Amino acid sequence: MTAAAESRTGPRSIDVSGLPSHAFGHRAPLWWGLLLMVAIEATTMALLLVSYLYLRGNEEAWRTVRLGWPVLDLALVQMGLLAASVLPTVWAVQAARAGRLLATRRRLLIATVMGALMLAVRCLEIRWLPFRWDSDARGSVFWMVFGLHTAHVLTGVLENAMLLALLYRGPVEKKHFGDVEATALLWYFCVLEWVPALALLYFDPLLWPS
Amino acid sequence: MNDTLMATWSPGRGIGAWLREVRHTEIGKRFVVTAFLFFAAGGIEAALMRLQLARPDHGLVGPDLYNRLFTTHGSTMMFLFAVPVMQGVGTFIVPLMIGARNLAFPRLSAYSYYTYVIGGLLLYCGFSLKAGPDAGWFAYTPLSGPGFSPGKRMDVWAQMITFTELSALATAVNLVVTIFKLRAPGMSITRIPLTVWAFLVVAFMIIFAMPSVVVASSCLALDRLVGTHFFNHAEGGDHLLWQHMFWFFAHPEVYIIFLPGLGMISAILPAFTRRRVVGYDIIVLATVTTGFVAFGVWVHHMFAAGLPQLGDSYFTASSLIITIPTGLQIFCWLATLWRAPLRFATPLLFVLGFFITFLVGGLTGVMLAAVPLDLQVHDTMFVVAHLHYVLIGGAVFPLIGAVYYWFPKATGRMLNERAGKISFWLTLVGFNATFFPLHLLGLHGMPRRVYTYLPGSGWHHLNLFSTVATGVLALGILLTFINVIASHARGRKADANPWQADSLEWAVPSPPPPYNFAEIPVVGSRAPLWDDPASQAVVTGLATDQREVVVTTLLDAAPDHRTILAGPSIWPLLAAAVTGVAFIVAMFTPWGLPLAVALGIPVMVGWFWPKGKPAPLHAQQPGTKAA
Repeated sequence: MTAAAESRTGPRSIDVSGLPSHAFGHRAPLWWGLLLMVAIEATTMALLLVSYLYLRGNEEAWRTVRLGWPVLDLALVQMGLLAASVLPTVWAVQAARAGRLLATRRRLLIATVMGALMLAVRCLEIRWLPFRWDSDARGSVFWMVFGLHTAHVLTGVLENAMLLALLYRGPVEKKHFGDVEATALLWYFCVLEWVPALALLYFDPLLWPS
Repeated sequence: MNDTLMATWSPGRGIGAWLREVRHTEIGKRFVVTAFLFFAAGGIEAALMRLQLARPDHGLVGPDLYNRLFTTHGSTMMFLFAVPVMQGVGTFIVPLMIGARNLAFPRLSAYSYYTYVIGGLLLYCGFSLKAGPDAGWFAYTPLSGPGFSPGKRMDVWAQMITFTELSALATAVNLVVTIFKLRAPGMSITRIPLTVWAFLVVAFMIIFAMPSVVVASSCLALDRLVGTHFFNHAEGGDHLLWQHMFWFFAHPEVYIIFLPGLGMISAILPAFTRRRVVGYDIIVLATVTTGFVAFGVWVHHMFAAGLPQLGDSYFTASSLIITIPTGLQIFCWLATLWRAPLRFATPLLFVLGFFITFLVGGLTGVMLAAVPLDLQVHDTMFVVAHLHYVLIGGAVFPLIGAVYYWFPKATGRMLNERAGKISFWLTLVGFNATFFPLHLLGLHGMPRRVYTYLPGSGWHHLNLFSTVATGVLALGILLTFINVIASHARGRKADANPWQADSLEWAVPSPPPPYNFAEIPVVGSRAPLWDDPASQAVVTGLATDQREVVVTTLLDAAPDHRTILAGPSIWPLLAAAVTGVAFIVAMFTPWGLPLAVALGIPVMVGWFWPKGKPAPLHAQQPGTKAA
């Protein structure tokens, strides 16, 4: 219990007027809300990856199409952009915790631009993909994972953009710094979930006997 | 001070205020009322099916309508009644029981409600346009796929799932965060009411189970709309993938429906036995264990699908194991009842009814967990009997008990006891007489989901008996409906704690004011109203001219900081409308998805963009410390 809370006014009553009016991380309700949303989306992604493995056991036709240049290279570029965007996000959260508005929005801007770039590269990749969602079951589950992740990244970029608009245009309130940290959770998830997805969708086929 | 609080938390007047409503008491009541309307619709469908089965070769309902009836009945009861009604009770009662002024995300709860209504309307619009789903509530592929279900019937089903699951997920997140962070100071993790524990476990189960059916129904919709091959064997898909994904959701779903019922029992028992529930720790641990094990039993719905025998054995074992935590809870309640000075009011009667009916359902469940017996009675009326005993016994009996118990809190009036008792006996007798014969019919080989049977089959006496008994059951339920409507208008006025119960919701007036608690209580025990009369310790120093609440720590519920909850807003309704338009368009063209993004962005900006007077960034607030 904080010292402020212990300044009691009545028998065992608690005076909370001295408590802070916002908090970061797991102390804040919004952070928990975002964490649970990430849990929902992570379960969704995990189920799709399990479906991929389940269907893979059935499919002879999958062995004929491997992903090589330029699809694989473009996918690696995207992974690189995603991984690199974690740094400015972490720094933006640090600045937000310290209440430094200028640094927060500059770093968040860099992270958001990297996310948008990743989406641009993904648009290029789509043009080269050798199969469609209706080609076979592999195509279906590939495109589903691909689509879900794109939706997550798009949501992350749009959320960041909205937060940036708020941070640049104002009026900025203290709680918006907490929002930076909560939104960052979603972004970390977008990066993390793509690691197993990339391994399964792009690299697993390389291991199949030809 | 109460005038200022009233002005701050009051929802306002008029139709605009009604549409912007975010009070958890109001949203919760709307959930419950809407869910009971769907319950009535599902009941009428059931009655029609029973009438059709009353005699052999009956021509009342043809095969196509019968298919749509049982699909709509099952889908309604699972997705539009059982889950939402529990969401509604949780939305209504959880903040009151933990001493909070609202849910953590008030607007999200409004969004959740509107999304649910859209999903329900979609199903019934489809049904009335002869475009209602007809492939069973679990929509097995390939029957539900593009090859065998042309038209839009199964798309209606798949999109209804999306709406109701979205709604359930939103409520689940809301409840978890509320229970974690908005408990009254002092309500440490060992003092959380058992009812709230049940809702917490259920919320977590929803978070990890519902994505599975969302994925499954999305894959089905895509197979039907854009020619994907998730469930198409010819192109490397797999029908069993559907069954796995569906039951990975739908078995936990059973517990999602009946764990809240168990939580209600833990709330009702102390008030009518005048003692605390025996074995708090055991019940909490059993509830949590059930939550985990429920995810490991889904394949017992698929014993007839031809899976490897080792898998079948594993799932038999896990299905038997799950009876242990449930059994523990039941013994705790029996110990609570044992030689207690019982007060036989209607809520307790319905709880006792639960023991009888749920026991039967549980025992047939143990039987069905054995593969040989399951194969024998698979897809027969035996399974129909089992699942109704579990769901009506496990969820509906406690639920009706809870309606009698919390109605005074929700409306400020008592339900009529006499009518309640008559309703209970009619329901209990009618229910058992309707469903017990179905066990025998199943053992005699009568299949489920078949619209008629031949005269020589020997099934007609039991079927006729069951149909007549349905009338008694319907009468029992109808009496409670009438009781609710009549008592709402003219019932005896209820004071704050008409049952002399022990938990915090009874510390506030009936019905609760918009701010719930004029002063947030400080909790010092598991039964605060018995051990610790509410007037003693309270939270002071919260702003009354803003919707300010105290956020507490996760385990100890020590006061941590203050926060301001969102107030009334029209955006949840608009967001739900946009969700509705986009998803319904997506039934017909994939352009629904870009449409969702295009319409969703302005709505999200509108919802979250700060309005009104901002709190200045750099001005030091009195007494504020660095975070």
